Amino acid sequence: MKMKKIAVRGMIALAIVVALCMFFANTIVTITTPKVRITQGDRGRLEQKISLDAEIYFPETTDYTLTDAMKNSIVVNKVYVRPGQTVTAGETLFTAAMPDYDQTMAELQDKYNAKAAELLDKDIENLRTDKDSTENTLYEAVLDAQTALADAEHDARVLSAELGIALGTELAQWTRRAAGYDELTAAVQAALDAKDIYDAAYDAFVRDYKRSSSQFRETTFQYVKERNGLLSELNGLMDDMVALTKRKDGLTNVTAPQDGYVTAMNVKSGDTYDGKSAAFTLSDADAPPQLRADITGLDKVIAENTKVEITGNYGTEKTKVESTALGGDGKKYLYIALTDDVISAKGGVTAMMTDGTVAVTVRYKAKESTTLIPAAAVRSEGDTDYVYIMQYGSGGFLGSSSMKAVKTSVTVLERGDTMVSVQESLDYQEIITGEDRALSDGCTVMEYVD
Amino acid sequence: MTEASHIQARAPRGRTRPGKVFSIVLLTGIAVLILLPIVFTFLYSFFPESEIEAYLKLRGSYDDTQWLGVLLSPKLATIRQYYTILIEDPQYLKLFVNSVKYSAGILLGQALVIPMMAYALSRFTFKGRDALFFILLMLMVLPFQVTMVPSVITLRFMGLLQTPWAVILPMWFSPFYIFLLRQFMVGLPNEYLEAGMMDGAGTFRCYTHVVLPVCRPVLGAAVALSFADCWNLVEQPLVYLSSRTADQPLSVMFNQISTDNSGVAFAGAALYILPALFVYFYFQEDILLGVALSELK
Repeated sequence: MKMKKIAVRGMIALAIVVALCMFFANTIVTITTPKVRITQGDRGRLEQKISLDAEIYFPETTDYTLTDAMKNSIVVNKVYVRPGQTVTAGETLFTAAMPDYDQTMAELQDKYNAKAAELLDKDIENLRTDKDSTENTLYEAVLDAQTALADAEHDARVLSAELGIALGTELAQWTRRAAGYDELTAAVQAALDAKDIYDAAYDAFVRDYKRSSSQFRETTFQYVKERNGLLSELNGLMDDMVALTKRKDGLTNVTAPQDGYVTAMNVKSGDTYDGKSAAFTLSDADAPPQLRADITGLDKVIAENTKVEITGNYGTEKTKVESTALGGDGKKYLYIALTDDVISAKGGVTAMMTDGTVAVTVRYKAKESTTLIPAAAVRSEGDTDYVYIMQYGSGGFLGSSSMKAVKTSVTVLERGDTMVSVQESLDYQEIITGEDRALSDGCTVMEYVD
Repeated sequence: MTEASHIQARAPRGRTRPGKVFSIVLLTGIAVLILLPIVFTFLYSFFPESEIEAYLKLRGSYDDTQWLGVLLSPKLATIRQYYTILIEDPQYLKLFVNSVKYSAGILLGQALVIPMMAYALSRFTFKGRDALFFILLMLMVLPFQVTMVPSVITLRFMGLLQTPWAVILPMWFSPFYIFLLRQFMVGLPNEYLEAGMMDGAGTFRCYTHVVLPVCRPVLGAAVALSFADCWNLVEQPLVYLSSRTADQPLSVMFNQISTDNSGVAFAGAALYILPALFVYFYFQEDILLGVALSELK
């Protein structure tokens, strides 16, 4: 009897266990089985939106240093332009004052007046006599020719200063330096003619002096020489005053020497500028500005004409990549065309330079077609990348359908934000992109259903 | 008195002590050999699936000149095999229930039909009774392979092929159990039935109130043996339910399960054994007594 009881109880227990298992098996399996999201691999060219920070870049620029300010430093009054503005040649960039102008000019004028007075004294002291004689005529001719020569040289120097040409001290070189300037050439020619007249008068004067019966004294020669020196000094002082005036004109109203963008303005109101560094920088009008982004760390080859999007004030503007190249600093840069639409959308070049950087989105597209899978599906273990592929099969009894996660190594060619390009052909494979718990190779899984 | 005591009572006395010891050793050895597969089945069902799979892979690839090692203890005792077949993959349970359904259907039908047929053949005298009994004996000795084709034709004619009834109905008329019960009923004293009739019982009342209670031991034996037959059905479902794999009983699919999922083979086998084991435990006395009383021993 005891055995019968055991058998009955065993049978009842078995029946209960079987019934409970049949009733709750699906529930338990649902709870204990990892739920996964699956997607299908695809084939195509990897596309990726790459966000970069770009800056305004001017391919050709010229630094302008006002070297005249090394002689007379200036104090900037007002700056009229900002970096990013376009200017035309002759447009005022900034105004300044030359604080030591008056003092320097006064000093030069004092020197000039002193020399002029000295010349006058000597002229009075050596006034010719009323007596008509060959010596007196020659003497007068030398003095007149000397004065005419000094005036002609002065005229040429003033004219050359106005034109910004340095004639130098050698009269013989003036013709060459004045070439191309008709008015100056004429003035130089007048000076040369005056020089010839003076030389002829002086030669006649010297010949007469060498005669035994000459009435000239040694002091007369001395006077003529000193007068030459004084006239030369007066011309030099006059040149200095003209140059000072010209410097003042050039430095107190600094204008753009060419058309282009102001790429840098190194002075500001109140600054003292001494001409030792560039005051401003202008871009070449023939080399329009670009956007330049540092792509040193980017492991992708971005081709020319790749589309670029820039979000502006009124929507998204489109432009394109012009080139990629190594910069002088050793970094790799991406150069993007800066169209008028982009400039307008971003509020102008000045605003862009003020902001510092411009957010750009490069729509990268790979050159070759590969297997594309979602980035979330690719997992890494050390240096190895792998994915879990869904495998349907007869994993259970009687070939009952089952879904298993099978670990498969992949070779990642390129990584995008959302997609990854892999070497293996996983087209149309169902790939697990997400799971609610850790997976292991070969584990049974269920598809997550929203 | 139990059957064991019967056997003990019949044992010749005065056997020498060495002979007794030898008998004990021999019988113990035989018992161990018979029980060992069952013990291993239950033992291995608590091994990890991976360990079992690795062990079973040795089949056919081990060195013939050496003994195949025996696993005695798992690296990690686990009920994972049971979890797999009971929870993770309930297909096993579906097959298990299929077996239960067939067994229950067959046993219920046999309970209705076979005792009455045996009663008729043993107690009534009618024309052709002996011929009928002869046919019955002939059917009993014929193997299934011989009767298979006529059975298929008949079942198709009746529209029962590829239905569970194709398996259940023919088993209701199993000749062996008719023969078993008939032999037992033949041996019943007529006084039992005469006493019943004198008390006013009719034929059917005598059958239900006199014959069946008296036949209880042999009925138990028949139920136990029939259950074993039903639980282990292979040929009939394979032939009659060839296109209905999902309706096959566990006995048919068990081999495939063991092949495809060797890691859970022992847990499956253990669960498969249990019902038959419980039925045997329940009817073990009746089996011995019934066989003895029906003079089939």
